[in-house]
Amino acid sequence: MKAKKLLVALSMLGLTSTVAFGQLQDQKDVTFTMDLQPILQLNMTTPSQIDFTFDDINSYYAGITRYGATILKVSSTVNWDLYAVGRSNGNTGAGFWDQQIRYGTAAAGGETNQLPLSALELRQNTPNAATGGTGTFEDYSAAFPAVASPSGANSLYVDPANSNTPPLITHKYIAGHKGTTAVGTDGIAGGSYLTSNGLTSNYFYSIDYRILPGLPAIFPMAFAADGTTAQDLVTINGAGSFAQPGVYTMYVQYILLEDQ
Amino acid sequence: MDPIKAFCSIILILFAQLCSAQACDEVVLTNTGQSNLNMAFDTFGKYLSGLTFNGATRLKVKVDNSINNNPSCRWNLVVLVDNGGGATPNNEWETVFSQSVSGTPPKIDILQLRIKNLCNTSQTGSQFFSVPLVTGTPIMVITNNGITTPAGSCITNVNGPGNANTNPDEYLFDIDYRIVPGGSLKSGIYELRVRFLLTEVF
Repeated sequence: MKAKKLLVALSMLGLTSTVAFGQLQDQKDVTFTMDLQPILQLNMTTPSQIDFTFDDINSYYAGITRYGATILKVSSTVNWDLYAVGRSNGNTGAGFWDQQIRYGTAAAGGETNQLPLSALELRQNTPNAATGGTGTFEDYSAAFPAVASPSGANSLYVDPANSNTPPLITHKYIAGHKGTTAVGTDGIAGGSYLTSNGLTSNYFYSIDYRILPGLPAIFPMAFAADGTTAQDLVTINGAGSFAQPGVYTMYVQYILLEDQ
Repeated sequence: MDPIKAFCSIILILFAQLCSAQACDEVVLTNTGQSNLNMAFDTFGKYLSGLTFNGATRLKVKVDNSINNNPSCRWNLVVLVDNGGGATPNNEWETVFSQSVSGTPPKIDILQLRIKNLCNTSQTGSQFFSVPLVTGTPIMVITNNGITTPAGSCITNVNGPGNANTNPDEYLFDIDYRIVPGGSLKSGIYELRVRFLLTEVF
């Protein structure tokens, strides 16, 4: 009987103590939802039209260069790539300048109005900081080649389909490359020219342009996207080819996109 | 003395001592601010300068010992950061939706807090500070230092009984939040919870 009473008493004590020893506590939660929207901004300062008028022998021989004609400034919250691609309406064929007017009437032998878009050369002031490219030329940072030494070091990337498809890893980028391996290999880290300034900033590029027709006008600096396959008029059309006099137009698209 | 009676007496004495460990009669934490905060970073300026929400959370502390009048009644206030656990690493925000192929998810320590009241009783000071690198690491706002600092002292770590109605300078905490994401983060929608825990301490 005593044992039963003891058991009941201890049980009551245990039950009571379970309640009594609960530490008083209260809590409140605040939930944060953070929406990180991708922002890619390319600020470009450039004339709406850049003219190259070849009206004397020297300009044919030495070409015409427009220094610092385009300034590109990048701000991005994500890792990014930047490339240039030559475009046209293709009224003389995909990958060629548009002919707006032709001088003269009778076509001389060897004349062609199919001038490759890659005849336009670019030079960027700061080298591509992503060094993972596997092509002959990773960017447009080389000095313009001498007239006597044709090279595809600066020839503009052109999508054979006359589209703006990103270059391959073997082609030129202004910054970054195809692939998402790592920043510094094939991408540039997010950032802005606003906070990373200076002459060698990876977020600021000054672009020079050059067109070198040569004499006869065969555009010896025109090369395919790989930088090694010549696209001058003689290589493409055979000996004796030269550019038909006239007014030609094309445009350059600068494309900033998330590292891809 | 009957050994059974002696045993019961000892148990009763111990129980009485343990019962006295609950020193406070009531602890209540109230948030009169927002319980959900949305931070949208949709301009580059916001990424650079961050977003600040001043006074987004207002905590009112009420700790009462008026029934038992136990002088040992003290409390602490702790902040914990929680990302939901699971597959999310303990140093990252929980990913709700990701729309990016590159970059890294944000770390939890990009969240900064500022916890203040008029008497600056908070142990965290009156400046913004980053939350700890990993979840679950306590941030002591009012800590248990074994000493009861009574209401009205208007010094650091007031932890005695009191409430925000009679001593708002010590028992009312305004919480400011700031996030500065910086660059190279994986864009998307992320979540994080901040838990405020008011506990009586012995």
